[in-house]
Amino acid sequence: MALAFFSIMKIKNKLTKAAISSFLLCGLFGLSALPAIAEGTLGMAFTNTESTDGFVSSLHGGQSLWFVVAPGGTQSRELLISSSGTVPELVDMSLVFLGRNSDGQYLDRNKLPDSIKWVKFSPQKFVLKPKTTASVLMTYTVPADEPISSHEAFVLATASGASGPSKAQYSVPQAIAISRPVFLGVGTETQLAPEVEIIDLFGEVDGGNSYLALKIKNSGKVPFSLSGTLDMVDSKFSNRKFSGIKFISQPLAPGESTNILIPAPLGLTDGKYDISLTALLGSNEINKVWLGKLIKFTPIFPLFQILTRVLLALIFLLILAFSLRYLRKPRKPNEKSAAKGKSDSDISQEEVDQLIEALMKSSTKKSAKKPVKKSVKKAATKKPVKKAATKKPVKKTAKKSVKKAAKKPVKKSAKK
Amino acid sequence: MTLKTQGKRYLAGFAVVISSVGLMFTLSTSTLASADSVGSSASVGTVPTCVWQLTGVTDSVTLTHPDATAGGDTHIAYMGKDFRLTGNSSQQAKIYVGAAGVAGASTTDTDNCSFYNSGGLGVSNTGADAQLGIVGTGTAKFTATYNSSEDTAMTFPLDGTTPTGSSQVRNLSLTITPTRCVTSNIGAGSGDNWVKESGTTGLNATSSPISLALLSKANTSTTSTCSFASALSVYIPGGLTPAHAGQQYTFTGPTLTTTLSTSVD
Repeated sequence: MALAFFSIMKIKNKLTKAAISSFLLCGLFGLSALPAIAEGTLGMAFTNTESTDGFVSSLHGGQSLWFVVAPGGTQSRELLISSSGTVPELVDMSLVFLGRNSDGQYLDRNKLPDSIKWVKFSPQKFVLKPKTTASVLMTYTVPADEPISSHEAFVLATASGASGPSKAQYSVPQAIAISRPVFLGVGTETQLAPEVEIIDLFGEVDGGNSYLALKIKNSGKVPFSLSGTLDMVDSKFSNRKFSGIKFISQPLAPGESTNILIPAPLGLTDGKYDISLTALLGSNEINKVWLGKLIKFTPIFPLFQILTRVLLALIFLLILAFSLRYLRKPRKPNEKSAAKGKSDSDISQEEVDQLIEALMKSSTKKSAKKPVKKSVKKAATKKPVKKAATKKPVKKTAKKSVKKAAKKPVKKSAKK
Repeated sequence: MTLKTQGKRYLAGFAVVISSVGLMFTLSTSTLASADSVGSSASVGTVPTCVWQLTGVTDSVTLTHPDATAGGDTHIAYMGKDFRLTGNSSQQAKIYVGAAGVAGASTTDTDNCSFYNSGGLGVSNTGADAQLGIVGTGTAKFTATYNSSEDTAMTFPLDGTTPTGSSQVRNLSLTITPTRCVTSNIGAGSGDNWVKESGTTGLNATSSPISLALLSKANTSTTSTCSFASALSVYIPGGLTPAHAGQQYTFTGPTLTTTLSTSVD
């Protein structure tokens, strides 16, 4: 049957024949040639909705997983788990230990965080269908006798295949997990009021771009992200204003300090400025004023820039000196043209001829009154060409042309 | 005066002017500045928040016994000697930045999402550190079952030791090959600031999680992505005696969990 099929379809390639044969066999014998186990893929994203708590929102725009709960109080956040996998996933929500070392923070599954006894996920375990998003409510309930304290941990969302273990004879199951840090402050808003120390503001150049660097320190007990605006006025020229320069810091843990790099607005140059800073932190408005603050955008290699300037100044100075020297030289066009070559000498020849003709005209007019000999002598002696030729005998051709020019009109005028 | 000479004189005059201006500029202490007041207002739309995502991890890796040419042996079943098993993930695992739910990092649009409130305005150090690790969760062992019941005589631990009757260390070998890791995924992709792990590691009960790929905040873009292939191999150690000789056993290894950790956000 297969041979008849190939001859009808005119299939000659051996590989194609083999492929089609196996396909036909699969159809005939219940697809036994296809792989028995199909692997699905797991995929996940872990986000959260913004905090509805005003105090938490004021600390960091409400996006981070931060909780501030008074003793005896409760606070909840909505977590969103999205699937990008191809199979149903069994998701398990948990709280795991967050440790810190010199490299930063790390996750340790073998330790339990101290705040685990107060947390609840609803639901904690659930099946997430492919390409869907599930909502999980995370709630902290703090006992009434709990003292003021702060706690860190990781929220861990772990997903594995919901269809159970593989039916393969030998297999290694896989899972995926995404962890996000969570902060819990136990205390009232007053007790945990954020405190910021605004240390300095200065100019900085990074990657060829100019920035205003605002140095701040978190001197309180809760993390925060400071945002606000800067208004700058040139101390000398009050019409030079740079207003509404926005800034926002990365989340800053208690005790940490950072430089907020704010792109310098167009036209902001080195100079002294009167600067006012306004920011909102928690329920407090932060104000800071610098008067006559020197802002200098120090380049990475100031010495190199100075040297470049000096070199450029020298080059310009040299050009200026040579140009001025050239311009100050006395005008000796015939000498120069005679020295330069043929084309120049041709032009000067014409000029000389014109001069001689003009002289001749005047001499003919005069010749009517004066004797011929006198006029000839005058014409010969007045020739500027002869003078130039005697002073600068650079080239033979030039010499000859000058001599000719001097002699010819004399003879003509003499004959006449 | 000839034409050429006249031209030179004009040139010299021009040079005087230019060099004077240049000299004044280079010797001045301040640069040109605009005295205009800076301030504007505009109405703009917003883009989704950027999220680090993890995808492409198969729910299970199937192992097979390779033949002699592929480093196995001529036996098709366990004969009491070291029995090699190997397998590859059919898909490549991938971590990437994008709006929640998208299948991968954008190849065309840097403005597909934004790390709002996560760094100085206009500064590139937005985003979060992405660290990917694989760790054997649960008990580090290969469980042998017959008729859904465990045969403890055939179950073997992954403890990094070489047992009697075997010449192989009891590890689950993981070979990682990064395939495409880019700071920005636009077009063909640009830059690779990922710190990547590659090569073979023996996983056992005492081994630490492997850091597969790490991208610092400073290098994170709205289209960062890193994908990699992985392969597994393990030996059923020689010297084991099955309780049900001649029967078909199932061996299931420890769960390998690929974890994506983000820093303080």
